[in-house]
Amino acid sequence: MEAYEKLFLWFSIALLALLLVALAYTSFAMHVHVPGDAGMIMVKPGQTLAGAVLTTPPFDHPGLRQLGPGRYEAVMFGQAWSFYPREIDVPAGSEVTFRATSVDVTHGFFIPGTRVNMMLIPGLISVTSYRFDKPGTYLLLCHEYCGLLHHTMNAQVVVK
Amino acid sequence: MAAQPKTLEYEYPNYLQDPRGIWSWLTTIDHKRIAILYGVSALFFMMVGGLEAMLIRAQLMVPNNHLIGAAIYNELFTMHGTTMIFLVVMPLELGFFANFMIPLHIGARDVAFPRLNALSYWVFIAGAIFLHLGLVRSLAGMPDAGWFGYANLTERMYSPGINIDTWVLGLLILGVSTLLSGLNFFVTIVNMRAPGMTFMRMPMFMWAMLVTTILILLAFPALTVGLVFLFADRFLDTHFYRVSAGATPILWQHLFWIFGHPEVYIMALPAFGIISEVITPFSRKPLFGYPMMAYSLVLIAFLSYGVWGHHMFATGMGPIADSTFAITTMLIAIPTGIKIFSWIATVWGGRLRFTTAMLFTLGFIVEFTAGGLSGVMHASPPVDLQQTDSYIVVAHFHYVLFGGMMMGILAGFYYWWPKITGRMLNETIGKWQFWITLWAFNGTFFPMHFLGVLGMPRRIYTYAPNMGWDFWNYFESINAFILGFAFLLFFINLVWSTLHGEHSSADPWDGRTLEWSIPSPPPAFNFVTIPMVTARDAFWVRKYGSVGAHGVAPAISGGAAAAPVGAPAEVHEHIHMPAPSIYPLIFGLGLFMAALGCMIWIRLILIGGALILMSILGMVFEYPTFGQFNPEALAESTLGLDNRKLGMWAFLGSECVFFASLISTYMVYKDRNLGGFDAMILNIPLTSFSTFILLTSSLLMVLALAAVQRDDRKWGAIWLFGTAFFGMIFLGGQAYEFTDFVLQGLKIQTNLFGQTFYTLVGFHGIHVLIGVCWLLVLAFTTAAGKIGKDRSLAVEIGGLYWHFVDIVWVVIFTLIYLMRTVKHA
Repeated sequence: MEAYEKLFLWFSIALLALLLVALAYTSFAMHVHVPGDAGMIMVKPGQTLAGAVLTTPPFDHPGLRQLGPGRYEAVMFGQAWSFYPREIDVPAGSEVTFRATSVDVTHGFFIPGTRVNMMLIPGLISVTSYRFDKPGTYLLLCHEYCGLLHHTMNAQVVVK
Repeated sequence: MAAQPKTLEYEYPNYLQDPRGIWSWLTTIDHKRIAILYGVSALFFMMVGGLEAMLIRAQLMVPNNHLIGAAIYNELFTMHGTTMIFLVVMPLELGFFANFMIPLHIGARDVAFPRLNALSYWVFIAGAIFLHLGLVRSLAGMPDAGWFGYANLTERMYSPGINIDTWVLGLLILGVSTLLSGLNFFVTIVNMRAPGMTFMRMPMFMWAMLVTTILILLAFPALTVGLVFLFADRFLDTHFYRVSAGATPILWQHLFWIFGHPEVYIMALPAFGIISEVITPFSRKPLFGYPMMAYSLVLIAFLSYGVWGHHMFATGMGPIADSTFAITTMLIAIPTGIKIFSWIATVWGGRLRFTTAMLFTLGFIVEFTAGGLSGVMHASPPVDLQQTDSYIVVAHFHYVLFGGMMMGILAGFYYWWPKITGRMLNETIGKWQFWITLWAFNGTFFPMHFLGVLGMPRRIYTYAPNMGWDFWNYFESINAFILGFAFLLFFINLVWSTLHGEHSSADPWDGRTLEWSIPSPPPAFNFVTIPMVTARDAFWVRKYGSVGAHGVAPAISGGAAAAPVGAPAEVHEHIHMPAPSIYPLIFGLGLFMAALGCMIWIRLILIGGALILMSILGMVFEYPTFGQFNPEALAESTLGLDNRKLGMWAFLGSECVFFASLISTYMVYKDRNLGGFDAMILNIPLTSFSTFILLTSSLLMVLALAAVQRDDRKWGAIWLFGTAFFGMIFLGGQAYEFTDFVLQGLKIQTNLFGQTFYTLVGFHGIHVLIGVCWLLVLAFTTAAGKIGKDRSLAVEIGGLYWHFVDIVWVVIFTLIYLMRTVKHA
């Protein structure tokens, strides 16, 4: 085996090990997780999806709720072609858990510049959380094509 | 030696000269003419798709633009994707290049099933026209849900117009065409190679096509099932993707991407193959790492079935599924990396000639690698979760599809055009085209990476001016128009060079593979004598000896002059080519009318069905050789197996995926049933009886085949009638079962159990019905004394199908009837 080949092999192995350590660190020490199954909307016979969403807690009271100091939960839903609620106001440095679903077709839930990026699938609840450190107005966009006025579907997160 | 090619060129008319006239093109079954038909159609759609892309870019050029309406914009990006994938890249790679080159590369006179080949083309045209039906004013409305058509936006409730109807039916028709092409080419490559052409001596393009056809056979049924469900939802009011009935729209995403990711490789592998062919003559070196190149194609294909989930990270599948799909996706980088390094190693130290074809090949390697690297990036869920549905994704797949596939296709055009038309494409225009394309392609798509990072989502009609997206969008649009200009040059070059270009010799590039050993353009039967293959790069070895094949190439140029062609040892006898047929065209027409009938006038289905039936029967009985063993063809076949039998096996393989998709949908949905009827309604004693009858029919089928094979026509007919009769008893049982359920109130629309049960068992029933009709035709023909020992193949193939249908029933009966469990969601 040539010296360069050996060097390259060791380099690759080291890189791989480094990535695994980084993965373990972010997962266990920093608690960064990929979004997972966060529950379903159960539709009873004869009920519409929208009806089911609006009677399933916590979606019967959508909006922002304080969970503790600096911790908020935003319960939202997407409908063609808007989000409800349309604006969320939180103080800077707060950790917001977004709990969202859709009342009609598949929508997107995307805040550019953050790692908030989910699909809102009818019948499923999507959850993710993010800490907004920098004050400003964050645009919340639908990025999953959802029909004629898809490009107008947005909301805001205002961080003061 | 050198004089021979000349005489050959003048002795026979080439495939374009004889016969002449429109009719000869409508009825042609010559793979080369069908390739031309595909090529012309696909180039037309390339213009359409390109114009659509430029309209999209014109709309996005400035913020708050209202150049075209939002509705039209949505139709444009939907049709741009659908057109480029199904009507441009696939027909060019499969229909045009593969169709033309497979028989030439492996030393055959045509593909395995020439009429099926024509049928694929006419079905393709029917599907392509169907997709564009929305242009008709009174119907009004092109497909507008994206090329991926995510449920449940495609449901009647959210898309009430005909837009999605044409899309569903058009794609179903195109699926038929692709599947049949895949089957045809698979059998051709496996079974029709010239003597001595072992797998490890095949040109790399053949390897690529072999793997592609397997992908087609095993991937398309998943799309078909997804589309059938959507069709049922739209036309029969079922609930496959409706949450209010307990279903989930994610089912569509799974089915679509199980097809969709292999589809990426169905488009990529042929381009890999073209590149591997073009790169060798212009480097004057054999392909580096041939075995590894071949194995990595197989590995890519294998892995491509385990990666569909990486399209769905944002749906929240959970950490386990996410990590699995991330790892399989990253693994694909290994075989792909092997290929890229092998191409580079082929160029390394070669005696390079920078023709236009070679420039596009090098462009492919660079741009495809860039696209591949951003692909590995998306494989990581945390990274992907910031990029999903942003413009980074658009940048990534355009680097793969344009920088990769389209560059490969263009290289193929410049490389093979002399062989196809007998005229060289103009190199000056070609080089201008290449450099403009290279610049404008990067100018159009590279800034999309930036836009993605800046948060621009996909598929938006327009955007606000204060987002920081203005400059790059403007820049991209300008470059898109320049890219359009480069394609204008290409089309001008094609037309001008075909009319006035320099005449090409048989071997203008000093090529290595067999297609260069015959005149340009080739005669209708390709090879005067079927070549004997003794080594990889068969033609090169014949020209320069085996030293030239493996060592450094001898420094001779102008190989054409030194090329002995075919070296026909004996004077050829009359070469018998199959006669033209109009039935493929009628089949395409029938399918078109049947599909149209679903949308506008239900009785058209009957007319379409009648045309389809007529064309199938016509094709069956058109040949005097129907069902006959052809000892000569059998002796020449690579495996010693009849093509028709191999084709049936390949088809059954594809059917397995079809039924697997249906069965898994049933298994998933039976536990999500929202109440009402469930599996307890099933009548086990009755079905056990009909199952017993169906299994017994398999025994009768065995007896029938044995009788026919020993030339006992009377008992052959009796057993065949018996098999068909037992099949009918089974169908009768099913008819009773279905009627009983409907009378009890369980309809296909009732609930999740009803729809999945009826589609699964119903599709099996349709298979039995087709089998019974088939058996009856066989039985009557045998009773008339037409099928004896010599035609026993007809019975054998029918038997294969029949046994398969029985085996599927055993699985269905066990899983759905015997192992029924009832759980309410």
